Order: sequence, then C-alpha cells, then structure tokens
Amino acid sequence: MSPLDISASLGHVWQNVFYVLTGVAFGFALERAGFGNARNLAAQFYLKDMRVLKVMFTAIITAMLLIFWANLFGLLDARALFINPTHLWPGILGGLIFGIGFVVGGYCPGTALVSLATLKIDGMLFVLGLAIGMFLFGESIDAMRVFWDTAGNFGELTLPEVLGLGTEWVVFAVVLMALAMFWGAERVEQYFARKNKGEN
Amino acid sequence: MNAKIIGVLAAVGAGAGLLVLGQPNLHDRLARLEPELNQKIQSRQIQIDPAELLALRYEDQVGVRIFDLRSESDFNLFHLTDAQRVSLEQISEPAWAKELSPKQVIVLVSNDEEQATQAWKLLSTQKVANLYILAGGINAWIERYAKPDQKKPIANCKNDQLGFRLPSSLGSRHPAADPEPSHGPPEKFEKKVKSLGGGKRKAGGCG
Repeated sequence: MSPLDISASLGHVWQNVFYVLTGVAFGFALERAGFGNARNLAAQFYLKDMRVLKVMFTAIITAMLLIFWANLFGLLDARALFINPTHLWPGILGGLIFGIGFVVGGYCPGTALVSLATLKIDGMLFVLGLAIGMFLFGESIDAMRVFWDTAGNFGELTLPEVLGLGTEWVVFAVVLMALAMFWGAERVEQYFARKNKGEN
Repeated sequence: MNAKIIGVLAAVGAGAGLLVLGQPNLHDRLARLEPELNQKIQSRQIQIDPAELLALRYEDQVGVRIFDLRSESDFNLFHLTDAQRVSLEQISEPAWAKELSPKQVIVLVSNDEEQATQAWKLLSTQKVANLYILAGGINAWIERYAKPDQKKPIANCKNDQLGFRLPSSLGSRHPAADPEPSHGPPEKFEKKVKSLGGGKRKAGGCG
C-alpha cells in the first residue's frame, strides 16, 4: 500500500534518481504552463493573467481527489502522508516575505529554478538572491528560534479538524471553491482584457 | 462538449462520489492493515521484556509513557509507577492518539497481552510511533519483581485476568510497582525498543 518506501524498494541510488526524474517532470510541467517566464507570474498580481491561480488550484484538487479516492480503495494510507506542522505566526511572516519576493522578483523558488534551467538571466539572478537569503536565514535562525518553534505552533493541523467536518465534506467544499475561483478568475481576466482594449 | 465542461463535471463528480462513499474509518483501516499488524505481533517484534521496560525507566535519554488498559479495580490493586489508565474507547479517538509525542516510547500493558494487543493495533492504525506491549503483561511483571510474600497466584486464571491475589489496593505503592534494577548481574533480555534519535524529517515544498 502507498506511500511507497522508495529507498527500501529501490535502494538509495535509485531513490535519488527517482527524485531527480520527478523534479525534472515537475519542472517540465511548470515550464509548459508558462511558469518559467516572470511576466506570466507577475501578471497574477495585476489580475491580468490568472494562470498561476488556475494551475495551482487544478493541481490541488487533482492531487486531493486522487489521494482520497486512493485512500477509499485501499491503494494509499492517507494517514501515513507527511503533514507539514502549522507554525501560524512564522508562516504568516514567511508568507509575507515570500509574497514580496514573488512580486518584486517575478518568481517563486520552484519557478526560478525552471527559469534558470532555460538560461534566463532574471532567473539566474533570482536563484542567486535565493541562495543568499537561505544562507542569511540559516545563519540567523538561532536568534529567532523561540519565535520560529513556538509562535502559533498547532502541530499537524488539517482542515477537517479545524472545521469539525468529515474529510469528504471538506474535499467537496474545496472542489466547489476551486471551481468558483476559476469562474471568478476568468471574469476578472475578461474585465482586464476589455479594459486594455479600451485603453488601446 | 468542450474540455472545460468535462473538467468541471469530472471534478464535481469525483467530489460528490467521495461525499456519497465517505472515507474509511478506524475500523475499516484496521481491517485493511490487520494482516501486516498480525505478522508483527506473531513475530514478537513489539513485545518487550519486563526487564527492558525497567531498564528504559532508568534511562535519562528516553521518555517512556505507560498506558494501562485494565479495569479500574485491577488498576487500583496494582499498577506500575507513572502508568496512566486508558480505555480502548479513549484510544480509538484520533484526538487522543494525536497528543502522543513521537519522541517518547509508549508501552501498553494489560493483565497478560490481550487488551494491550488490541490497543496496539488501534494505535498502530493511527500511525502512533514507538509503540510496544509489555510481554506477559502485569502478570509477568508481578511474577518477576514481587517477592513471594507479596503475591498469591490465582489457580485457573482466565485470559487477561489478574493472575495474583494481592493483599490490598496499593496501586503504585506496591513494592513491585517500581522495583530498583538488580544490583547483581544485569538481567538478560532481547532489546526490541528502537533508538529514537536521528529520525529523518520528511517534508514537502512549494513549486
């Protein structure tokens, strides 16, 4: 039953080969979605091109539905999946820094690597900045360790637990929410397209 | 029909299907995992010798929590120092299992192994880590650590019943509840509790 222990079944070397191939496939999908171009990504923040929202939420609902259908049929033990612990306040602060970096640089870490792989100069500079930022964070984390480890630490928290609803209800609600967002995103894109035409 | 409409119908259909069929509950998952769990139980990988539990209690680096699955009357008669009484209903609650720290060794005890084994299955299904059963249960513990005048065996003792007649309800004040490790040659046992250090952190990231 999944999740598979790749290291145990394939060995350490093939585990790393598998990780590299998965990363390349992910990067290829991002590139094909147009995420290797900072203009496409930054357009999200100006509400002109909502493809980031659409691609991300399509990925979320596809993965979510596959996970819970696989769990239902006994192909996957969903409880064995890693859940990132919730550190609320560090998460909010990190999200703000991440968001500012995204708007200013036009990339998030994954898409910056995709851009680097296609030899875009802005991508290279973004990855350099990313490396410097990671280094500074690593060197300064001890000074903010208490905040980092304890502020808003809720452990492994899931939406069904927070909302007090069954998993299947939350899954269905997230699907409906994503579809409503897709519809809204298309209306916003059409509005800005009309507005731009009017200005030209 | 265009691709967008097909996508919408597929997503709503898949979501509605889950809503109708639901998700497996604890007992469904237990039924699914039972062969794998039974294999571990039969191979005696998870039943720790009383001497190993005693040694763990004196190890500074290891936090041990002992959960006692027996009835309140048996618990009042005798229990291990720091043991906490819980019921099978309590441990079936996901919120209860979630509170258990993965950095501690958890030992389940019953009079022999029957109830502790049931509890082990329920908690293993909920992915509780470092989970063990006291081999032979409280009966084996009393047999090993109580002095002859502190225990009177009960003849024809049934499964998972306290096998000794104890003079009064001493709970953890019974001398065998917290025996000192032997000052003679160390007790021999097969070490089964795995080291808790160096666990790999599995984490995902964003694109």
